[in-house]
Amino acid sequence: MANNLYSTMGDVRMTSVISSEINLLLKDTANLRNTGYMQYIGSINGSGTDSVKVRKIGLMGRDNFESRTEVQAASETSITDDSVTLQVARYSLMYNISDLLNLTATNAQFEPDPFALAASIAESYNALFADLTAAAAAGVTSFAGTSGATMSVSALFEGLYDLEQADSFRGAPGPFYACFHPKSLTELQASLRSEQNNIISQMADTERFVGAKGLGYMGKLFGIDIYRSSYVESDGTDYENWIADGGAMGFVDGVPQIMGAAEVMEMDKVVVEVQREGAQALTSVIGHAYLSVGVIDSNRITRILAVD
Amino acid sequence: MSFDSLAQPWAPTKTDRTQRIPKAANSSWMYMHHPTSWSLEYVKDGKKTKPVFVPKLSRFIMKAGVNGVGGTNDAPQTALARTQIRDNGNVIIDPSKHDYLRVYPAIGGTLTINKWTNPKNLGGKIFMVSDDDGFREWRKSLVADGIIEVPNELVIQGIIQKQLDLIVMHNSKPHIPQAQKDATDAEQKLEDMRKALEGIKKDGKKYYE
Repeated sequence: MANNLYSTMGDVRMTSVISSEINLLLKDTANLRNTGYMQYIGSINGSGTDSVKVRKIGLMGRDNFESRTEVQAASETSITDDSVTLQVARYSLMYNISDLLNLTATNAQFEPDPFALAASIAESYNALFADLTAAAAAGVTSFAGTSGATMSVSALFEGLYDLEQADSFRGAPGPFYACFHPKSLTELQASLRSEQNNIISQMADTERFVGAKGLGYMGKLFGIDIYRSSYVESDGTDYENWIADGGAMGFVDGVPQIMGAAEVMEMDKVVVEVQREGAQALTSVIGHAYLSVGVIDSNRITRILAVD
Repeated sequence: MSFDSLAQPWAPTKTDRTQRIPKAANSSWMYMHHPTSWSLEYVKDGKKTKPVFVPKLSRFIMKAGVNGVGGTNDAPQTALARTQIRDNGNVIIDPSKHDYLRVYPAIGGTLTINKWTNPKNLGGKIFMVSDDDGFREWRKSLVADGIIEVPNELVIQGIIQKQLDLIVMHNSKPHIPQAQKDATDAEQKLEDMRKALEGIKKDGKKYYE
């Protein structure tokens, strides 16, 4: 007489059931947009152009007085001016889902239905912002640190000193922040652990900084707000971390004004629309954003190289 | 495992390929140089090496929406960005004239790296192996060939001053053996910096040949 086994009853047992909750994979949506360190230059909506010229002028104390004798005529001083132009680019993210995928969905929180996808697209905008910010910083000419060497306390100080001596020793006013690739950040933590200088090794900030870290804001070190981003650029040899002053970088955006879509969801700076392909039983969820990030004052920012 | 067979010469347009390197794609870029960016390196001079200030290069990243670049990532419009870069005193080193980039098919697009960086797959992890000597020689040749001007003496004096500051910092910890070793190494580097500066003052561009 044969035994009735789980392994032989394939018609009445399933291979597995799906969990009632769907867990999220890791993501990195931390960015500097709402930190106060990025200057919002404006929107191109209704402006008649896709580009914005950021104006700069050397006033409020940039020029010094000149000495004169009792009746000597004063000489004219030319005002220093400069500008940087940022051009907005279009970025999109689209998901197609079939009716069968949608109708078999459970009531779990992150089922890929059109509304969850729209919310996800809005979060992806944060990732895009971090990506463009890192690319903009990587284009900075000046840098501290040594190519091929790990991130260190000395390299961070070198970057800080560059800012303090910026623009022919006028110095950037601060407050300062730095953004590190996760690998460079752990190297900085390791460097802090082996620091010989008592001033640094016995600081309360040091003790806090070598502790476990999550995403985004990492804490303050030497008066610098430290952030972490996996979008920090690499040239193949080095990660291009950066340290900057609050006025170093800015961004311009535009919010789509969508015409003719069946359904539109405005998600902050992203507009998501839903498009139906009835013949294929497909629903498209499409997000659009128009964004530009750039360095608006290269005297206020320097890269800190650390090995890839 | 080597990815040499996948490497393509730099080209202004991208091509689709089925094989790819297991590393995230990046945006197209090219090198640029600012007249204040130099580092002391040791290059071969016969059987010996000699200290030379070689250009420290930075990257002009051609990503849509970044630093004045428009268009799309596949077809970036760079005219405005190039103008701004040149206005800031940078020299753009055109990869169509100086063959220095390699483009690999990668996750989500292509990975552009310089030709002296060689990706190796060891146990599923990608390591970037760099030919530092080759990269150094090429940067030196940019000065020898007149693409980049010989460094200004004032800029080098500024670098030397930073090295002096470093020596002072190390010497402030005479009780720590490692700090003393760092001070000795830094003093040797200072001497080499002065030697390289003398070479520039005496021979100019010929010092780089």
